[in-house]
Amino acid sequence: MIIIINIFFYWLQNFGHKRLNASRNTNPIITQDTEDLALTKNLARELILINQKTDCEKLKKDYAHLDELKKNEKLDLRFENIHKKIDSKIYRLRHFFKDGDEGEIETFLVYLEDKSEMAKIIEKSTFTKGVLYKKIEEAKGHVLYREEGVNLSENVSGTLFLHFINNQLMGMQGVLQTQEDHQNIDCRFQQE
Amino acid sequence: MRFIVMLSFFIFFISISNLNAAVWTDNQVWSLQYEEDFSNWMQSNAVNENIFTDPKSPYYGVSTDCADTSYAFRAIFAFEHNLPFAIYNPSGSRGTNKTINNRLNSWDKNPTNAQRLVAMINEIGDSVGTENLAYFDTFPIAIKSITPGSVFMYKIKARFGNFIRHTYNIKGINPVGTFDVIYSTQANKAHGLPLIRRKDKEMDNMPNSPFGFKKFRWPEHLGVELSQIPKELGPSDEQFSLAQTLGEVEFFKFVTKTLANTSESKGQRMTRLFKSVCSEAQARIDYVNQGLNHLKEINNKCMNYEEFDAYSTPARDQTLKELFEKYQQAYTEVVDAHEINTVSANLVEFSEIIFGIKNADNLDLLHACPIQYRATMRIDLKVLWKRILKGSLSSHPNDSVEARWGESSSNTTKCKRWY
Repeated sequence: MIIIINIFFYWLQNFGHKRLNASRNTNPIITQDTEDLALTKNLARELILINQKTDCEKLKKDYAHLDELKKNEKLDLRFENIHKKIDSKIYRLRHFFKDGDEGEIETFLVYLEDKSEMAKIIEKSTFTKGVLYKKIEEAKGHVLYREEGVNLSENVSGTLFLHFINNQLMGMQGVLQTQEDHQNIDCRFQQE
Repeated sequence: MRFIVMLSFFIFFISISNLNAAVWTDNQVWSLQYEEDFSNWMQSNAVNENIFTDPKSPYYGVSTDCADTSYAFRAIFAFEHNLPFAIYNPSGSRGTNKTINNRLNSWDKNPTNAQRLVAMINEIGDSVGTENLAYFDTFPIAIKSITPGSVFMYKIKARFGNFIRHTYNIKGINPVGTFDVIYSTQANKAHGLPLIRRKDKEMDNMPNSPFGFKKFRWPEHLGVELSQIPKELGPSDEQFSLAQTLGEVEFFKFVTKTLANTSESKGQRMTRLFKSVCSEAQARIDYVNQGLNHLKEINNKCMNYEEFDAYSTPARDQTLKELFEKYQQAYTEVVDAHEINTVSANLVEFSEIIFGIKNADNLDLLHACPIQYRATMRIDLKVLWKRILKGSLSSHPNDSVEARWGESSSNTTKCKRWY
């Protein structure tokens, strides 16, 4: 009996954390009831809102395949996460950009996972890959997960940010600039 | 048998003692009321420049640069109110742990909740930047929904294709629609300095989706489209279209007008901008001195990219120049509107001297805004503006104090200018 209790507490400690599932209280914040400025109204009418699902699905087709985009478009990698299993240990490599005072700081992190998939940073390096980062990147192993965020067609009017998990498009945010139009995009897709 | 029983109890008590190893236990849920409370908390004295650097503060030891500060404020408020805190896991997830949240036991080596919170914030800070905050953890809001607690983040293209991003935390909204902001920077973090506060900030750098005026997502809103966020929270992408249509100057005038609850005369605006120019000019003393101190620490070696990034000042010098230009424009508008009588005689004279309309020296101007950048050198805004216009100020952190302030252009550094 005692052993069963122990097993229960062990389970609770390691796997029993409930998923965050907070619900919303609908008490409204006291907001100003003043009339919107006419300008907002007029401009709001002109907004081209294309973040309805149908439009997102249409757009998705053009940007669904990262491999093709890499061949055909000028992409700017904003971050990359790779989870790699090497000799029964799972490492995570993260490459991204911290905000500098006057620019950006290319940053490379290595994490090591524990049994519950929690990852702890074990190496930090900036501007160049750290020793461990390079070692894990080059080591033979099984890539379990790859997540990438890229910017497409950087221009003065903005950028379209594309988010991929295992080569599947998960989201599009930003500005889609065409000759006729300037559209704000916010599309999120479910993992298949 | 006795041994087995004792061992079992031992394991039992160890398990019990670790059960509460979450950063904190949440027993509340985010609501509109809590959003309002968060907004009030941001305005309160609890959120101050020394919150992370005062040894008496429970949050002493939090080390933040830019976007990290926003995450820190949100986490602290959630902690103090037993609310859930969750952000998109920056290193990714294959199934479990899709978020970094308060229920994780990753920081349970720290004995108290507050210490676990500090450890969690610092680890988040290592893994995120303004891009994470913009792409995953916040949503854009309608202009009229901007409140204390909202953030303003921008991304601009600087020289040589380099990007600059920054996040301001809105601590308050002044009656005339300007912002009281609190934030940090890389150099600030590196030196463990208090947070930076600007009590009368006019934003510049237009919103560009997904960078702009935003609010934190509740845990249950992570990963959902804008249309699924409750309307009462003000989700909207109007700012991006407005900015595109109106252009930078008119857009921010619109923001100010929308948020103001009192109108500001042209003369009042001119007075406010004089104060802003003065405070930004004096802030440059600290920026430059941080670089000079670091230069001493590294025995005058040429700074590498990271050091250059932290201690050079090209974007901040440009901001100062633009602020002078705004002030000059405000002065011109007052003159053109024949409202010069609404401004104090002193300020009129200061403005005429600074912008070269009157050729005179005025000790009062020096006293009103002294810029003492070295022990034996104090200049006024007239001299500074003249040097800015001439392009004499150096933004290179390897330059001497004289070169940084445009006092002397001889012996400028030969070290690499990284951008």
